Amino acid sequence: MENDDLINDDFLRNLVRKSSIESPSDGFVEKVMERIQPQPEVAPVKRSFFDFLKSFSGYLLLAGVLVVFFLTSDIPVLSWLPGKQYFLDKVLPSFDFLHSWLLSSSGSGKGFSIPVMILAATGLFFLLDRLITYRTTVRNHTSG
Amino acid sequence: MKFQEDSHYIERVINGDIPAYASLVEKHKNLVFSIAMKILNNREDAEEIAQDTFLKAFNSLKSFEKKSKFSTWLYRIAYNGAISRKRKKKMDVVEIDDQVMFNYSADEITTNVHQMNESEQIQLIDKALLQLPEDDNLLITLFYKSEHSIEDISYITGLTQTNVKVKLHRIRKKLYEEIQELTKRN
Repeated sequence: MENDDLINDDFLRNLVRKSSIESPSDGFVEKVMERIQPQPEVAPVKRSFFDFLKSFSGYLLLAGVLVVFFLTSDIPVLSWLPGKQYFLDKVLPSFDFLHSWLLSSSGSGKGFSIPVMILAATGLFFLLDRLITYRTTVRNHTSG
Repeated sequence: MKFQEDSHYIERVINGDIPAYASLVEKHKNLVFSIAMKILNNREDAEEIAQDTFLKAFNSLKSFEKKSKFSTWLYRIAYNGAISRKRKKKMDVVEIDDQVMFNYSADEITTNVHQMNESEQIQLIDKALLQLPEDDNLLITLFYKSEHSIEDISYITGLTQTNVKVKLHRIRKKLYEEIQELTKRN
């Protein structure tokens, strides 16, 4: 009997139905979904040592500095380094065909051989950078 | 916003369509939050419990056995979470006093309430519900507003069905008394 009173109490039922219902704050659904779909962790990517040289001119400048350093390293403390004489006597003659082609195609040997040295060093740096960057990328892909 | 059956979204989520879960959250967020709010009486705590409820439900969705309705299962998680938080905070659990004698006139209340306009009635019932202990407020809301059966409420709260019935009878009488008090004051 009491149970019937409870169920059949339309007055109270209708009144309670009118009561306000609490709502969570705006963006509640988004917050829940963010927790459900956590952002993928950003793996720390090792920056290539050569990343600071993003432009070709950067490589060119560094290579130029190094070539100048090598060519003028006849100071005693750097005597173990191949100096200017070594390049002139040993390195350049070994690229004889290139050397002679450069000499024949220009009036001045120095005017061409130094830029060639710079370009060769630049190419070397560039390839080294590509190699290091490639290894880092491969590691990142496989570590996930 | 019109929602489809819960089972539609559940199937989609289980099949990998995780964003479909947002619809379930949208559909049930108010009642889940309301359950937590009625028990904890603190918006921040209630919101945290509501979020945790949806997270737990998501993580257990594959093991949801469909023995009960999804909503009932969800509200049970919310209820348990809120009760657990309440215990951690050592908040007082208000028990109903069995010895309370109720003294009200249902006819008088009905007449008075029917003389009120819609917004006055809403204000009245909101105030009256707030006068009830949090757990009582929840039980009566689940029964009359969300139209859950006694069996469902028993599942959500972990009380026996008999206990739910007894409590609802008492809460109903208590609510009548509160309404009578409020109408007299007005």
